[in-house]
Amino acid sequence: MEPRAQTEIRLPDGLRAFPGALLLLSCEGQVLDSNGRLEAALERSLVGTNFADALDVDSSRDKWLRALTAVTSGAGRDAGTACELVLAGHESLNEPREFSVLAEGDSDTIYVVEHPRDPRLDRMREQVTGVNSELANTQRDLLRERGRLKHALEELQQRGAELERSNRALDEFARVVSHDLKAPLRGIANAAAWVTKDLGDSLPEEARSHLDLMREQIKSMQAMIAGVLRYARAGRRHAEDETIDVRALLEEIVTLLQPGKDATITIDTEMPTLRTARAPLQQVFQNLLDNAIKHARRDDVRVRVRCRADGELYEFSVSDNGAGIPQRDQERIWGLFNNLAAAHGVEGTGIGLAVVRRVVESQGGRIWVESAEGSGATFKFQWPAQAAEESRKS
Amino acid sequence: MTSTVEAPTATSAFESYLSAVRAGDRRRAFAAVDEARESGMTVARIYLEVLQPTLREIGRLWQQNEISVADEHLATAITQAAMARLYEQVFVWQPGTGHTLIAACADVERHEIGLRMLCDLLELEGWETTYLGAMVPVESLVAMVLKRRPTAVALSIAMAPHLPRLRTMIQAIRETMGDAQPLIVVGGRPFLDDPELATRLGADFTAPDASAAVEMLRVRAEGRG
Repeated sequence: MEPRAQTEIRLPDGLRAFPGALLLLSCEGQVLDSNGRLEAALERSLVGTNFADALDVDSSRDKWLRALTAVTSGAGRDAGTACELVLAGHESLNEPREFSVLAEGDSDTIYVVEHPRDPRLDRMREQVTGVNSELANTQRDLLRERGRLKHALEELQQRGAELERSNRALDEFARVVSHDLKAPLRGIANAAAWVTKDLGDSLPEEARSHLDLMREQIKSMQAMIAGVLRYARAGRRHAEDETIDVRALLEEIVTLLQPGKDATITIDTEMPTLRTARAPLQQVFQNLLDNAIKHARRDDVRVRVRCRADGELYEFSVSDNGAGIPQRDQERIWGLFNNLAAAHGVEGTGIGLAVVRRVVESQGGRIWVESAEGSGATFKFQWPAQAAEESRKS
Repeated sequence: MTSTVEAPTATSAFESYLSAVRAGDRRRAFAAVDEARESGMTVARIYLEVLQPTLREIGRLWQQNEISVADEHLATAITQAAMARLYEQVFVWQPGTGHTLIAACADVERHEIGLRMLCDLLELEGWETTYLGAMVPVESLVAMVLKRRPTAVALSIAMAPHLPRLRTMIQAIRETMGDAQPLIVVGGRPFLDDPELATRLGADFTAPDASAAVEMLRVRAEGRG
């Protein structure tokens, strides 16, 4: 290399201000002069080096050598050629620089001209790529979530079908059992009646009282069987929603229950009118009011019904001033045939609360008791329902 | 299916996909993928025998100066979309294997198809994967690994000059994770030329393509239980 000869061949001054990189090369690819723009990117001087050394080996060096050959010797001699190249070092493979390679007339020099880039376009492209990647992530997340939900739904449907089957089986079981139990019981009841009738007055007093006891026990057994059937069916029938004036419903129930003349039943003024099924709500109130009256074991029982609305969830409460339920029994009362009062001579099968709970839960509600021994009991339950139009009495 | 039947299927699918992508014709490209599916090719084989060779060929055409980088971007975009369609068609949620993967590009560039393929193929094997993309700060990556405690971390790199950053990432994970080391798999051009580089940088292994990575991850993850 002769430094003197190289300095003689220079870029015309008027071209140095070109916004992209501009290089003047020998036919062999030696950099003779440069406007300095590529140097800034490479952080080193190019003049005197081979331009191929400035390029990324894997992606661009061979490509450059082919372009150089085309321009210096072949078809590209007149037209020049365009070619995208990546600089060696830290430049992105995604965004190569675009160059035109042109042979200058008759002389043996070559111009390498970078097509100036619009940095705004580069930024936009980068952003679009980023957004694309985010979208792909989101899409896969959504697909996964959809798959998971589909799976959960299938499981839920399967469980629902299983539940339906087991409910039907329970129905069938209760029907068969109660039917099969009823028949022999009826036989025993008949036999006892015949004995009483046939022997008439000749029946000794003691035997007669035994037979009376027997008939009572039979009655109780019949009630329990009916209770089992009621429990099995509780909340299982789908009744149509109708408009229920809860106050009117409560008044009907009170009339039906015929509380003693010293009893006081108070229904709060704030009672809603609901769109709900009549039979289950009636069943719940009737059981709770009946319990409150019976279990108070006092003639001057005071029962109060209240209601509190919370969106489409109504919370009703039935309080009494009876003996209350000790803490230790508050779970037991919900079980089948757990009649705490039986010991206290109150009539009943002890199945009422179990049925009530089943009905309330089948409506999507919850029921519980708040009580302290000696100071009455308050049964509260939630009843999800929509208010009928003009629901509240003002 | 025997390999004698498979070979022409893959080749013709590759050819029609490549021609569609070169023409920038998204719909024709999707149709080629659909045909490949209908002929019985698995997603993995479509990824590796149709999409990946197409992108390699597109890269080669760029080096031959036959297409511009804009064409290459378009080919990548079409392929991303084709992968998403394919994933949507075959993805079935199943109770997972319990294995998880976090994937990230170790350098500043988004060259995500390889990692995306790895994630998709692992998902189909019942793994749970998270793709973080490019330009993830080292601290964020480490924090994520510490929080999620993945079975494996996959890092890819496009250019050798970014290797120091990859080494920093691996070291940071190794130092932070103590006794609960994830498997670290690395991939990208520098490892194709020099597979030994992976262990020298502190990774567990490298794989030449997504399918090989899936296979190696499966074996090693099962080995760990």
